[in-house]
Amino acid sequence: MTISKFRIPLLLLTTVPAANVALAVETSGVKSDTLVSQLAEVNVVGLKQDSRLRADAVSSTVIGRAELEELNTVTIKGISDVVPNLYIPDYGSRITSSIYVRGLGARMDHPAVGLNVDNVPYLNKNTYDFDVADIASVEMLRGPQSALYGRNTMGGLINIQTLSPMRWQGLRVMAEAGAGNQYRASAGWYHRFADNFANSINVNFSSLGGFFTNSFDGKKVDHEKSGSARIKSQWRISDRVYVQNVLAASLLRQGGYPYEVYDTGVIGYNDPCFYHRFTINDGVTVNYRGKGWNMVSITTVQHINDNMTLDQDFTSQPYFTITQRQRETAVTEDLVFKSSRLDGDYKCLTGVFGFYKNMYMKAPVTFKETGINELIIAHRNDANPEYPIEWSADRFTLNSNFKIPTFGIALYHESKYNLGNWCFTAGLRLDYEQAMLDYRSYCFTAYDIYHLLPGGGKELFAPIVVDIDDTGKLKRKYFTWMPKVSVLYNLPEGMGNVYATVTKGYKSGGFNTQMFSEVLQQKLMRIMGIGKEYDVNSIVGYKPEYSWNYEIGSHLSFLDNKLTADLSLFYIDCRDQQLTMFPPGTTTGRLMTNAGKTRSMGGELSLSFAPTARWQFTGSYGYTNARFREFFNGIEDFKGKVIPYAPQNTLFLQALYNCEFKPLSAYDAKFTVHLNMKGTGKIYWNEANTRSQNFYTQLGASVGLETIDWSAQIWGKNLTDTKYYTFYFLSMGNEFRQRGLPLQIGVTLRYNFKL
Amino acid sequence: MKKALFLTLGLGAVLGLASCSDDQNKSTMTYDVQSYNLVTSIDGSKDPVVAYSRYKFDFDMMNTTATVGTDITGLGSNVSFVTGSIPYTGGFYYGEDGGLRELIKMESFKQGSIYNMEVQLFSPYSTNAFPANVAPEVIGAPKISMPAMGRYLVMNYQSGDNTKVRTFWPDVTFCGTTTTTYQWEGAVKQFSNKDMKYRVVMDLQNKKATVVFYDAKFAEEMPMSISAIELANLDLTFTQNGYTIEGKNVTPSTYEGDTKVPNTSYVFDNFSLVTVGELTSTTINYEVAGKYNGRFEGSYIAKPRADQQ
Repeated sequence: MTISKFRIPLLLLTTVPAANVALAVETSGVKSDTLVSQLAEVNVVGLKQDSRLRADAVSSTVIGRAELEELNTVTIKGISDVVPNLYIPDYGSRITSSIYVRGLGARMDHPAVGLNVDNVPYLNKNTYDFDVADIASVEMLRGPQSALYGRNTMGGLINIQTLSPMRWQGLRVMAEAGAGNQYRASAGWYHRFADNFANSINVNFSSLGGFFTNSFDGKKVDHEKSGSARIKSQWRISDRVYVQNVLAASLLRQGGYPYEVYDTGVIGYNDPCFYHRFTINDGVTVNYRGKGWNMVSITTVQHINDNMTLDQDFTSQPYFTITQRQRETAVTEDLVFKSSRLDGDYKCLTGVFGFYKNMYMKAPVTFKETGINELIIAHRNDANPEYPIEWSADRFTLNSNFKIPTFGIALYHESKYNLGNWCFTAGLRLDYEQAMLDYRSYCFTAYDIYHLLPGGGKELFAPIVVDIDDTGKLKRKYFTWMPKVSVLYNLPEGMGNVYATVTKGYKSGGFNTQMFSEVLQQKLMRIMGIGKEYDVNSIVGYKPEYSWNYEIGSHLSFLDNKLTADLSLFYIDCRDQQLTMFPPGTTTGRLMTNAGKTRSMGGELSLSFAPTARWQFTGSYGYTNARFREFFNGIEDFKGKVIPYAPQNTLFLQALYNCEFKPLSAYDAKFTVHLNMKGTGKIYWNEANTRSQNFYTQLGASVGLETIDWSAQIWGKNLTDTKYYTFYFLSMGNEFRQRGLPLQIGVTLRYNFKL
Repeated sequence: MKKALFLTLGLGAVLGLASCSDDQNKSTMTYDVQSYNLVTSIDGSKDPVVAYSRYKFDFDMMNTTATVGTDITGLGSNVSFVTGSIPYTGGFYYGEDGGLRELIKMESFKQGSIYNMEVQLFSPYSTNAFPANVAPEVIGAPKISMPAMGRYLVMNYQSGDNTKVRTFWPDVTFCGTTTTTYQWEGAVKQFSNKDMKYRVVMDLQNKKATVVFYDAKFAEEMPMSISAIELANLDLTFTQNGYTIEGKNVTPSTYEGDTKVPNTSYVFDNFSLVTVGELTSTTINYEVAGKYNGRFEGSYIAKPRADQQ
């Protein structure tokens, strides 16, 4: 039986995604939310958690397909603020997927939040931001998920499942046009060849003309073209064996980096900025159902090849540019054994996870005329004005090549014991990881020293050749253990549950590859007789980050599940928090440093209310108070300051209305209205808390018509054209920030040919 | 240095060389340590003499004793001896900079005509990163001269009734604290700096010395430190107490690539270095560019970390 998506009332945040609606079982009064049919596809979250997230001791949010379409969301950035205390700002380019949850986050290198798409665990944060067509559901688990999902899930886990060809067959097409010369089109063909074999092919294309203009050349900077394709195959080989393979590829050509000068609000830089990316991933999930147990194997191969090129000073002067080319291939294997008996008080899960990834990176920084004059020659000539220097060329390059192989292996286990209305859970993960860095930093350039003559004029004193070629290897090993303990009590009469959890989170250490150009620059200046050399060992590596998360919460249902509420209070104690800093002075590299100690505390509330079939209201609010307990960066003490870049409040309010559209009643048409408001802030932009973005709101709305086969929607985002900023940074003493997207209006058409 | 804690015991581990066993199953080792000697008269009746010699240490690791001998004859010195067996202690300690160093110590009140002998045999190299008391690598700076096997001998003793001998090496780098005083916006400011190092390279034949300032920064307001400032051709004088190095109106040079470039922005109006005692610590005073008055106190031997004392 095929399920018509448009006959189901517009979905609430925590209701069942249409793709998984096959078996809706209500136990303990908890409305079924995410349910995995053990006869069909395997969802890695559904496998490792309770199959109904609201029955589990975890803060979670599930957003179904229809909700995502109402929000016009095709990337993870679209759920920012919709999920309480989740903030995914849109700045820079798609290489930047900075995700903040409860005050924890990362702008560089390793993510603080994990991302799974169709069970593929994305290891490289550069690949997080891409368009996904036909998303069936997005699940967000907040709080450390390290015990079950391992490295870099310290803030949580986002799990995206795409539409299953086992559940829906036909052809789906979508076309969209919006402000900023934005166009999107996608087509998906879903076919069930037999009862036990189905396949889907999706292609997606998007184009954006841009919203922000570079005053230097009058062109839009944030233009973009991207395309992606996905082939999803599902094969139920027998009653016991199920196999799914998802192959996905994407191509991106993007401008990006609309950074304006803080004081003037003008974007103006002379050198090109762009981001190009190609990714291809394949994930094979094999589910074997034994007698009372399940074995699931998830094997993935991931590859990314990208190029980020920046005018690194973001001014109209020729200071310097950087090109960072990465090529990374990774393989992962997750083998899970889980008891699947529905009776019995004890259930357990044991797994082994391993990964290997190898990255090649080249990151040359080219100094140009103004950069050479002001950042190098000026300092040198200040130190010895009687013997000034002149460079032999108008540019030179600091080259850095890296090879970064990393592997890890982990063993994890979780046990659950039900005792009446109580459920006790304990889990542990043992994780070992080894990262290596082979580097080569080299530079070949030259300059002349002159001697100013007493009577005027100058004579050549000496030519100087700079020939630097440094190589080295660094290695880091990390062993960590990640426990998890929770207690859950099921309230009587199906009201829901209350729970308490203590979990440990972990984010990997790594290498500050961006600092190598600084190391090389300092070495160059050392040859020139000024400055101090950096110690590669101490400046390039950063340690892992650890956190202890203490949380109490509740999932509640009232009025026969018409009203649901999820609330939680948390306290996070973080050690060696990794923070991105811009080193003082005239350097421009981003330095990841361990901040000492931080703490974050706050709460979250999500409500959904569907009083009638026509009306639905949802809302979520998150509050985070995240501060440094200890952080002295060698110059300034930031103890007590608010942790930057993470918002103190997130707010989301939504109202949905649908009614029969009588003129097209023969087609079972509905008229829909959707209103939403997102609120974010206050966000501090630096450790000293001297710059900030106040709390701001954005209003969104859509009106549409939908039938069984097609829908048309007119939508608007930021309808009040609120001016706000999503990013701020200081570079070479200059302040920059990026403005958020302005008012946008568009139209989306969808048509489904059911076969 | 009067005492240091040792992390490990056993000369075999300390010295890191294969020992020799003789027929009686004794483990022995011989060290030939290069050194220079400042030979002075206790009553001041004779001019100081500087002479090179080699000190031969024969270690008996089974009994943790050693003999030491040298021959410093000629040039007005008449010191020559070989001691009997003297107990020694050897091990490692962490210096203030975190570097791990070797140290062998011996003391003896009387060995024949040698009195009040104190011996400290140091290795400035540690098993980890670049230690503080070795000059940084700066292209163009004078090549570092070290005694063989990198073993620095700090030894002082009395020979006979009136001769005092103290060993030293003519190319050492001092670490410590530099305090500069200067005028800034009408007020007197002080800037304290532990990063600056001072290397002394002696030309013993011509009684001249070169002093190199590493990572020179004289004021907080200086935007960048200067990698190396060289003061060449300073006057080197040995006294009964030790030695001094002095100069006036010295135009320094800085190193760029492998080229020495004069720098008239930092003319040293005066410079004075005084080393006394066991010749491991020094005091330096200078005035630069007519505005920075600097004073340094430090040692070329890394002091043990506080928890090691």
